[in-house]
Amino acid sequence: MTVFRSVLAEVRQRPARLLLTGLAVLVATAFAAGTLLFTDTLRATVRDGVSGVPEGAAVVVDARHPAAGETAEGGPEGLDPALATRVAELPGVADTRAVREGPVALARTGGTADPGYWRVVSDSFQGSLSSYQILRGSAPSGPGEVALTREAADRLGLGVGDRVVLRPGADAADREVTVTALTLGPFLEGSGTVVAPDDTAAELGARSVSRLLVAAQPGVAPAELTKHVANLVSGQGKAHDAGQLRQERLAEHVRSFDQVLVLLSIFTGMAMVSAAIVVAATFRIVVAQRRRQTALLRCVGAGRGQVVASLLAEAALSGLVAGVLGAVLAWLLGQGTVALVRNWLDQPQLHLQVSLGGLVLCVGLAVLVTVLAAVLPAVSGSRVPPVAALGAAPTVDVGQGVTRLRWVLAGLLATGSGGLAALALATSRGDLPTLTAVACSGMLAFGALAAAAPIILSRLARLLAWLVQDLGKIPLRVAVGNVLRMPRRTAATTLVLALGVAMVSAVLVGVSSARASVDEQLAGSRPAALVISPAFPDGPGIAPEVVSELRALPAAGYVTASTETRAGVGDVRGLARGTELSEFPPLRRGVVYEGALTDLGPGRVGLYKDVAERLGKHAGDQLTLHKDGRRVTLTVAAVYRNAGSLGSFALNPTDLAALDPSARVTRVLLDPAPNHDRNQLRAAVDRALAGNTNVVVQAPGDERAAFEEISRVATLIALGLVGITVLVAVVGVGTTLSLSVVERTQESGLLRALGLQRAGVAAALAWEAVLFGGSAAVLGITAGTGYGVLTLTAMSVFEVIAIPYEQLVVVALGLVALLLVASAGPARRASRTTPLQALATE
Amino acid sequence: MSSEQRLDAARPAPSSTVAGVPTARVAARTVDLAKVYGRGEAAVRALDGVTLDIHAGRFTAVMGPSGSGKSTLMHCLAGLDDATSGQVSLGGTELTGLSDRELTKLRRDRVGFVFQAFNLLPQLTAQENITLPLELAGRQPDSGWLAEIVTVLGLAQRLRHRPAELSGGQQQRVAVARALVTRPDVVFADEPTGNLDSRSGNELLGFLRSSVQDYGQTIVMVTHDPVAASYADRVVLLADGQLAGEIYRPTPDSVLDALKRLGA
Repeated sequence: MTVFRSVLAEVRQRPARLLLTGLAVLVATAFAAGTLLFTDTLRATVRDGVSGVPEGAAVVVDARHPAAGETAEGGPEGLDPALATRVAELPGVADTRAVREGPVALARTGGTADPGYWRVVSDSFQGSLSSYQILRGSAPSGPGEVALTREAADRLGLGVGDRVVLRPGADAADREVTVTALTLGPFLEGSGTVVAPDDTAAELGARSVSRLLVAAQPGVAPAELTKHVANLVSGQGKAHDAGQLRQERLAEHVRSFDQVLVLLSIFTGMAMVSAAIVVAATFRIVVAQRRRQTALLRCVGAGRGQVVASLLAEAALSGLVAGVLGAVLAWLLGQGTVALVRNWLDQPQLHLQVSLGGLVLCVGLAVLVTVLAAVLPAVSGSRVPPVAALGAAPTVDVGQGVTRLRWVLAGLLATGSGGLAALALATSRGDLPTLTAVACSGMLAFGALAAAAPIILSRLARLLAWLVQDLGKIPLRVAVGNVLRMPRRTAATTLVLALGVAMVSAVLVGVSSARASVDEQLAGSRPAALVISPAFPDGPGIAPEVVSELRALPAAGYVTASTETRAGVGDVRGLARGTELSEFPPLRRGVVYEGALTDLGPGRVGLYKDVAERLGKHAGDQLTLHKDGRRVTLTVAAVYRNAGSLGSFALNPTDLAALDPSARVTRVLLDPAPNHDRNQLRAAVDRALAGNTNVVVQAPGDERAAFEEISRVATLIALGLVGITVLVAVVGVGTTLSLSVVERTQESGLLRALGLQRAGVAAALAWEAVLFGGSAAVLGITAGTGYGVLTLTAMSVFEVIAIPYEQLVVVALGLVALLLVASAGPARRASRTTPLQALATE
Repeated sequence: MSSEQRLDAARPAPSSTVAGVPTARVAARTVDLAKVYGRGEAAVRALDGVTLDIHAGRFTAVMGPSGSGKSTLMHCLAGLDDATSGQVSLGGTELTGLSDRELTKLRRDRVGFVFQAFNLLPQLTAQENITLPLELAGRQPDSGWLAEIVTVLGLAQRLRHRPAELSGGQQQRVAVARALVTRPDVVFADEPTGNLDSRSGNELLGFLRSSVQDYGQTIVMVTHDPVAASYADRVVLLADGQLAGEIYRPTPDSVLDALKRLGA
């Protein structure tokens, strides 16, 4: 009880100190609580969202084969439309609805087909068996009226009243229709959906019935009804209990959110560990500052246990305050975000879900982490001999004599880490064991760094100081001295900072490699300025007159048309493409492992790397391709990487024609003529193909832009996640500096008495922050880049590994800037020290 | 004394007279200086109308019982603390009304300090601590002068050591070297022997004494030790924030007598 009273007295005396020690925990708890709120809210949103199975359905019958599997030759598969009437006659059935569905090409009036995958779906727009809710406009009623999902309309920039052209199939005619409504579709099912009433949908190509919805009469058990329906439809489709289906769907979504939660938990864990390291460092300072006071307590008879208990009680209180504030902060941020999103999207279902139990858990975690972090400092702090109360006791780091032990430990850990890294690189299989090896290697490396940090950091700080020695004289010298004086304290804060920076660097390396790889892939698969392909993959391909029209364009330079068919060697099957490489020299720039693409020609074949590996064939070998009983024997001329434009087997068109005389032209590549640019070519092609909804025109730049958008969002999310650790670390440095300022009041006063201006005292602290930041940046960026490259190499994720040097420099500068901001408060306080404080002996 | 006259002639005379107080050379001066801490009922008059000249090239000791205001007087003289009313001048510069920036510069260039608690920067070597004020001013140390004071103070072999590796006496000698290196108008010493054993203390006082004798340094020392005060040329006695007498050419006994009369 005495212990707790003294803690409360301490807290009453310096309430800010309590918050200061827990600040890092506050940030980490806010993140943990935020994660919880986020996933709970997301889960609730999905649960309440429009389900793929409408409210009124008791039984759902799905066609055995999805309608998308429909082939050009065969008739529509799916359910028999007459089934609906038969099911309706079953006892207990209140209503039925046959949902029609079919692929369609969509184009703006006068344009070519949109590259996305589109389908037409039928819906009633009213009643309990409708899946689409009107958001804007009025439900389409007559022929020539359709609705679009809001997502699809947003992507194309279309609105209510706009007209679009729909083409139900390669051999069907264009139909111009009016968009009368924007709808909200089932979760994650709306990206390319045109919705229309039954008749219109059927006319627009929704020929097959993909699903039958059955409503039950009141009092009829869905399970019973499902059995009856199942008996009736057996062989054609599968009957599901709608309630069960909804549950399954929900479970699927929730599972994917649980995965998100697991991922977020990893980052939360890292933030918590970082916070713990920071708290431990903070407590070590507090304990050192109270050395005198502790010794006095011991003098008057306090036991070591009591001293430890009082420190731990203080830690628990600090953790509690930080945890509660963190949870409140998360709740406030959550409310703000939800309000913001509600203004943005018309998703009326979005409500912040607050689970009290979860928040209490977060606060408990905060207390636990803080107390655990305080144990070691508290125990070592209680070791102060009572006699220390009598003499002046300057703060010095304890345990300096273990340098050799540190080196040995660091050496062992580093060796283990290097071994695992080598193992991961040697196997490079990209499977789970490889990833585990990389992860373990990373953890060992962090351990090695932690063991050697006090030594490495003092050297590094000295090196950095030497590099910038001409910039600041006394303040810099003082700062270096202060950094070196407390190697363990410096190490703890810098290590957390370095961990954060390493994660940021690794993310940046990953993103830049992804970007470079996509660039290369695009260059490989879309080697031309423009690529023309058919809107219907199973249709007749691109008409010969279209090809000749394109060849004749004055704006077009290189033009080639390639044919394709599916063929095989033995039982290895793949896409065979007939391309006349001499017509389009840029194609020869692809990445080649064996042979040369220039050697391709009649009688020769190029192989995609994976196919070559599976066949065990190399350049110079012979192989025989077969298709429907026809055979062609060819010599392997090259093994290449980018399969997008050449196919699994790259043939000369004459050889392909020998294999499949009916092979269609499925791709036309165009480059601009020497005196024309891409835009002129694009304009000329658009003019030539105006209104041809049978073809899709794509420019690699479009895909590039779409990828950029995705990668930008992904980068921001990833950086946000790892940024929390950086934030915790920056808070830690700020805390450490604030406490150091208190500790060094006398020294600051002395400098002021000897004639250092206020700005000079502040500059010394700023330099200290710069040294922290510089050291952490050097260590973190080196480690992060190294492990980023290691992971990518070992996992064979991307074909190209690119290190974003400029971004890494920006990270380093940004970190230093962030730390300067964090040091501003302590610096101001330090500069307010009066010279008289140098004279105060205690 | 001939050496004093020679020194008087060698040093440029600072501004000489304030109305009615005839003196040849004054290093620092207070006129009707008052310093009040706190406000209203809790107000404490630490200094209450002190008018005092500190003679240049002399060793002045300030003594008095606890709470007599001796430390406050020194702080005001050294530009460490501002006066509530009255005037303070140092080497002819009026301190009252100077900004923090100007005061800092004045301390840097024209004042030296020796503190009771040694007050060295632990992260700097002895040499770096000594030249700290010069570096703060961006000036090069006069190597001849530096070598001389280092030799006289017996620090030549200790320059590369850090404070933690020096004895208390050595640390305090480093502090004295630091105070002398800028050739300040006045060196202020606040209980410089307070933390030293008597042998080291006497040694240090000897150094201070000889810096006055040999280099004409002006020194103001606050102390409560009559033996330390006996090294000075003049002892100024303070009681309750007011001047309570002075002793020229003090001995430990005469100082002790005077203090006894003050009731210390």
